[in-house]
Amino acid sequence: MSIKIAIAGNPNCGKTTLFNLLTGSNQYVGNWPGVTVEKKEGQLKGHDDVIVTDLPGIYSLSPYTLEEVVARNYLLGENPDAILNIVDGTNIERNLYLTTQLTEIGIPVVIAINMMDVVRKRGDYINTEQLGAELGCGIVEISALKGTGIDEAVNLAVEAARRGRQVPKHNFAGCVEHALAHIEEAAVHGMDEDRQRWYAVKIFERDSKVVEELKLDNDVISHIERDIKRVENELDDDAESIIANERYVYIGGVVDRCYRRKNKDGLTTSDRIDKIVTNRILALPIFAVIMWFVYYISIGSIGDFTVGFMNDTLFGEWIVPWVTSTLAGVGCAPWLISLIADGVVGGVGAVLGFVPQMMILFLLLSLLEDCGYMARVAFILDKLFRKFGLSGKSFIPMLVATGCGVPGIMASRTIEQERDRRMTVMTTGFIPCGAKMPIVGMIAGGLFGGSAWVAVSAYFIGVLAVIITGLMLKKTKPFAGEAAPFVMELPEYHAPVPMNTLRATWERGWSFIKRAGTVIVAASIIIWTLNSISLSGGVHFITEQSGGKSILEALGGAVKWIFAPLGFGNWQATVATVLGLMAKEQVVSTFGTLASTTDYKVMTAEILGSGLAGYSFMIFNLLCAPCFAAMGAIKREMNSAKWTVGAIGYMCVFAYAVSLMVYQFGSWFTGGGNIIGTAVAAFILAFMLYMIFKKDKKSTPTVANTEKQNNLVHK
Amino acid sequence: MNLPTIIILSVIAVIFVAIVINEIRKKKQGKSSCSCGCGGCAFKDSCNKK
Repeated sequence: MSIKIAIAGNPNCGKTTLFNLLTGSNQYVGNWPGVTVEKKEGQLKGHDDVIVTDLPGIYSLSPYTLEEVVARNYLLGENPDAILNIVDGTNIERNLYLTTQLTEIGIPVVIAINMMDVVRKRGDYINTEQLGAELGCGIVEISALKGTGIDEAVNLAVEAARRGRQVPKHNFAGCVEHALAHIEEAAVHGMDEDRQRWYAVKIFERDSKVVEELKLDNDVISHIERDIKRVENELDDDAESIIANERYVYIGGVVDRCYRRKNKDGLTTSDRIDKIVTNRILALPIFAVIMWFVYYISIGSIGDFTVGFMNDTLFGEWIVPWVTSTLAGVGCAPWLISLIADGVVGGVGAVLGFVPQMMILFLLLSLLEDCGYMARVAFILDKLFRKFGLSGKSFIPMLVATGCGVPGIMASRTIEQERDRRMTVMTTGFIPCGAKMPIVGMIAGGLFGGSAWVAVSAYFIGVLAVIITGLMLKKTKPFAGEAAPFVMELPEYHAPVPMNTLRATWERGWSFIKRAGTVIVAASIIIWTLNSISLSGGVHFITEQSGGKSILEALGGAVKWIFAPLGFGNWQATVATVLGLMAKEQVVSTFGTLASTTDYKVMTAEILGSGLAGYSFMIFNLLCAPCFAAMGAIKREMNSAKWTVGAIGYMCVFAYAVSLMVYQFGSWFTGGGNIIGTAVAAFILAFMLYMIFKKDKKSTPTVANTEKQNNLVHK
Repeated sequence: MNLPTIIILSVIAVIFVAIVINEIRKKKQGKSSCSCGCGGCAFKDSCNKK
């Protein structure tokens, strides 16, 4: 029979790093809380009969967040044989809060104190022998990052699983224990003895999910309620707070006896960095400078050089001429040479040319994430976001969305309040994902000489679109109300782990290359074919002699007027924008297939003309409806056709409005300007300003919301 | 149409059909067609549930 070991612990304490080490898996590791939302299973390396499950990070076993529900359902429903509780040694008090709850479930618990290298570096000391004796669990010191103590921890967990049964050492105050004994007798007497205490504590806390699960009689509930009320009156607090307080008092005593700090009230290195990085005045400018630097390196200086080399030299001078001459040499028909050289190689090459640029961007963002800075950005933006009616928790999906919008949209499910979640789903797509980066790189490099300002503005336009949407939609009935408070633990800064950052960068880049080699190849063939066949005067292949309007030109030409007020009303840009719905990489690929050159700078100027039209094109493609995969994710997360259509429709209208304003107002500075277009843009601007500054009718928080907020703050 | 053209066109057609079939199969298996790659994603288990 196999042994099941569950890895449980607070968010961002190193569970997934340990899980990867134990199972040889490649699960995503991020230095911010909430990376793991669902449980993950794997087989312990070298032990065919041991299954390890990585649970989402939780602070307690209360039922308020999705992660807590997933973790506690697994622990109670699947009955693992042992729990390997990962405790962050640098923050032991709060981590042990969960430990006291885990020991009550009746499943053997082994504690692995992680980040011991940091604890030792600080000169602190943990008496693990005494700590283990006080908590009644086996304890091992580990460093998941450095891979020390791992075998010992897992062996102890396997041993504990074989031994079975865990008896909690911690007792609550006399009156609480008295009430718990009553509850055990009245409500959970028939249950497995090991579980009785945990259920009794939860009933005492009035845990709605447990009360519902046990289907208790009203008589029993009112009997228990009398006991709980008596304790609440005696201790002058509510039941849930009594239990939480008792646990912290107990943990405080244990830590006093077992943990010796060298620098009791001093600041850690992370604290010192945070004093500057999260400073109320400096935080946002520092964030802006860091992001500018990231985009300057990836899109501007080094990135621009790599794109120039890839597109102009590799594809323009080497691959395309070689393919053309080789195919001509074997006697291929000219139209087939054109299909392969202009259609497939041109289309795919235009996308692949931006791969090094993307890799540099992903690498820099991974470094920022892994060292712990991005978690600070969530903290910095929380203040800003809440002023505009969004939850700071919305930043986590946006952080994920810089890679791809699909997981970003899915990350919104960790947001408890439905209106905040819907708002986040609607706005996450505004953040430029990896697939949109070639569009940014193409415009910045092709029309603005590789300007980092253009590239970084793409990111900040995304953030600004989120904020403006928050400000406007919060004034509407479906989104009215205060955003829920966001509580997040800031991880310690640490040097990025090369393996993690390189793997994350490679995974994203490789996936992009794979798509270029599959979806983009197929799409390029279709685009080339549609652009080479004409229906006018009978179906025929377009040649220099026959001439004629291609199917693609006819289709694009029929709807190009829609984009004329935005400055890119030609059929090539129209077709590229529409095909971008299939995959955003397709925008650049379409340019590559339709343009007469592989030089991306000439190609961009040929299709878009001016810098202003190009900038408007970039904004529209960044903010409008995302790709089909992301639309599918929106549909899944919204779980409503009406909301899905509403969200996608809003994004398109918003993108159109912003691009229109940019092009129409911008035209006056570039020697053009259209009276009607400017009047419409001014009307839209006035409407947006009205919605932004309109007085917010704040809704009164409901009892349920207040309760939930109190619990979140309490954590 | 000469022989090299027929051979190369056939290769292109096979590649095209293989890509389309593979995409349809992935869709039926419930695999996401997003561009971030599952290895670098925290939500791959939620995405590939089917």
